[in-house]
Amino acid sequence: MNVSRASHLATSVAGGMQSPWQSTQLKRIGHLLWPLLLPFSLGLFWWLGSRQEWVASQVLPAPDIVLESARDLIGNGLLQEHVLISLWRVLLGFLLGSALGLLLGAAMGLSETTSDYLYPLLRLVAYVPLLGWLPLLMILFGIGETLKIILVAQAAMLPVALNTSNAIRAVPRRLIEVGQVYGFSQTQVLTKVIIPAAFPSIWSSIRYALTKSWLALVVVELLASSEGLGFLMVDSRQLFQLDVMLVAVAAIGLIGYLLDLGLALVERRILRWRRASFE
Amino acid sequence: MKYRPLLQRIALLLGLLAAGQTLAETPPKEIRIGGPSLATTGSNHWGWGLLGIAHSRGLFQEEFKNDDVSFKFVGLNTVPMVGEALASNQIDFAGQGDLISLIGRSAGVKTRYILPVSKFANAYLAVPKDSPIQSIEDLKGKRVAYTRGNYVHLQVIRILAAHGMTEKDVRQVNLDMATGNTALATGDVDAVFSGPDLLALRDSGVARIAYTTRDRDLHATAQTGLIVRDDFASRYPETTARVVKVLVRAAQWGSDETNREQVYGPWWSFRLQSAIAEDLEGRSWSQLASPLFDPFLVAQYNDTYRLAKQLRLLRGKDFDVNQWMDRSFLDKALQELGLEHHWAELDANGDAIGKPGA
Amino acid sequence: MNAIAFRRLRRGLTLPALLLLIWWATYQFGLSDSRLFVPPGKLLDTALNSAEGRAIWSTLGLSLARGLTGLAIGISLGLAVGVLLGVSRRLERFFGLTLHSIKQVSLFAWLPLLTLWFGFGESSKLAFIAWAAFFPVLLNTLEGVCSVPRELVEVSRVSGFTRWQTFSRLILPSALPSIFNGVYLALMFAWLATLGAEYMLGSGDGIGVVLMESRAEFRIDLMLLAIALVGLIGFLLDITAKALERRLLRWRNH
Repeated sequence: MNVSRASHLATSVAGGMQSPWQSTQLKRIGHLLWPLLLPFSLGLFWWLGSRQEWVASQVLPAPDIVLESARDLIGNGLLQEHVLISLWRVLLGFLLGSALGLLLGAAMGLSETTSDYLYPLLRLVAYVPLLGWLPLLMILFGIGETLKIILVAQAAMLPVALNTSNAIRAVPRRLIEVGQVYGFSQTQVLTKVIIPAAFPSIWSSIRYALTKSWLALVVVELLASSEGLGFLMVDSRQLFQLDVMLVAVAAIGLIGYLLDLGLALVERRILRWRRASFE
Repeated sequence: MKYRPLLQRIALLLGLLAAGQTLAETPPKEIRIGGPSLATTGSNHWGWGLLGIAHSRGLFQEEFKNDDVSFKFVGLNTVPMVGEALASNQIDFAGQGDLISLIGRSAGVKTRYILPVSKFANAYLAVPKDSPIQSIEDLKGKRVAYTRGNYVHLQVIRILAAHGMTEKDVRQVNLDMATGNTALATGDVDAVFSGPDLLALRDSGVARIAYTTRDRDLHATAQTGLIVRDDFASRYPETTARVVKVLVRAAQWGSDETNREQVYGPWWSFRLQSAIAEDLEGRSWSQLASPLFDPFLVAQYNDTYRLAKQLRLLRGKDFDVNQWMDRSFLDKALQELGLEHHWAELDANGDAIGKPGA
Repeated sequence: MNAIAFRRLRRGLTLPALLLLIWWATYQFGLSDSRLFVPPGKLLDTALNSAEGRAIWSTLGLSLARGLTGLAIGISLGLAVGVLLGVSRRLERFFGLTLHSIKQVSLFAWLPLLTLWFGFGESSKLAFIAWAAFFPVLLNTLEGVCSVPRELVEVSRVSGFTRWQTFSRLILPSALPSIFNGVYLALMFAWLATLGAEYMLGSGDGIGVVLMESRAEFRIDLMLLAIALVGLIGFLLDITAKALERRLLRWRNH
């Protein structure tokens, strides 16, 4: 910075005035930091609260203790173990469920007969929330891995099946007719007209299904498990180790976020492919 | 002595002053006692052991009938919630098992142990009827259902240790009582550790009992106690003493062998009275309902402390169990009710020291 | 009912009827010795005649009241915050990051924290249900309000609409479909959360408690009855919301 500019800055700062460039810079920094203000203050509040014992420290441990426990758990591999088990279960159940859901949904969307027979039954099943089915499933399938995979698969399958069916049927007739006018074969109508048109809706139901799957897994691990993040939450709570419990809660949140992120990335990949296939 | 009348008068004056002090404390508007709501208790009932007796006979309300006090009996869904409620000031008194009360204290919750609530609770190991499991050693690598942190947990640890095993040698599955029993019936777990409720399961033909601490190992039995928050006890010492007195009265009633049949229900479960009767057979109520801080109890708690510390279940600074146990309220109650010699003390091995008074 | 609708109805009922038939046959002909199979007749009998059957209706009512209360709280808060964040860029950026991170934490992971903050009674259950309903409504309302095209907002401003008029005549109506999406999700999550709260924070009464207890006591008839009733409520909530949406959309299109 040359001398004249420096002195200009000095005088203007001293004089209480700011140059346009400065105020823009400050505004930009403020703008960037603004969203971080709330999380930061919440964190501060938490730290203060435990320091000042506003809440008993056994009940809401201080952030530094939670971090330390996190480090310990990662250090002795326990956290990874539970994470992997939960991840494995949710991915398996989700893939099974959504694949089945896509198949059923496509069948119902393309064939009115199938839809007439199947849709009402699926709808009925969907009216009972996940947890409503859990006791029955527990009796039918015990409390092992099967129960978890089935519950997760069911959580994924229903929204996907129902939404896929609706999405396909919602594709405007005109579009299909246009395709037929162009001489598209059945398959081409399917791949070039129906799927692209229904895709956004189907995809959002898949993302939703993943959220539901993760939710279902956490619940069933809370109630009947011997490993996994849900189990870690319950077990640590029973031994009055609420810092470990909070680590488990954070891990559950993080994994949920990563799973959703994963799907977002897949979506981007698919869109790129779509665009490419039309060029 | 010619000073006797004077001394007597001074004693009277002091006595009146003391009485005045007693009357000076106003109890709080609401006294909240919490405990885990046992699945076996059934609705309308609350508590177990001395707490159960006192609750079912309305002894709390009777003691405080002239005061403006209401009692809130909180049944919490799970064992950890009791500790949390105590720590976060939502209850004043809690009934807790030995292990979890020590864990709470070690975690820094400022509490005092002021009275035993139940003693000599037995643990049972149930397996499916046709299971090959015959002994504790057979449990290696099997799926065993029990809840950690509740009073059975420590018994499991002790039983395993007595057979050269640790918790890591079995696959613990965390299931509540009902789920655990169902899981045994469907074959989802290989064994269940729990209390006398398993006797009912055995009677239904689903399971058989492979092991029990009954008649076998006194030191593997569980004790539960009444825990009070330190600030409550400091602020309302008289009220605390009166609550202890209520429970000592309950103990007196429960120790009376003529009441034997009626104690089963409030002691543990109204629904499973025959199971309890079988479980407690051979031990007098006088021992079971004894509210004394005898050497056996103190030794048990100290041993629990040692074991828990060894297993890294206690994460805070060391503390002196004997300091944490505050027997002043019990002593006062015994004195007021004239029951100092009503129960026999048991030494560290569980044998009676001397004989109870008339 | 015309022919097509009748055929649809007939077809729709086929599978459920078939399942019922298989169920009845399994019991009748002893095809399975699982204790699972209560005859359908017993189910009806329990529903109408037994003490538990009668009690179940009031229990259901209790759960429903609980669920609806939590739902109402969650929806109103979600709407309020969603609108606020939608119209104010500043506020949206302030809360945005936190909200989008928090929404990732699976619903049931919040349970232990809720009991710490709201105690162990009814309030933590209500808080849980309200929380479950809050997020879908918030996020969808926000999306709905934000997706009103800028140009339209500017046009209305230029045409002399006041802030309030822009909001009530333009933004709100065009955000309605999104808002309703949020409401449908909220309904479902709230009913799920009602059951979940009753399982986990079981002190007290509720249809969720009935479900858990009937499993423990192997009362399959009660359990199936409870499941059917839970589904019935789900169904009623859904059609109520749909009817409401139709009513509101009609108003909008005027």
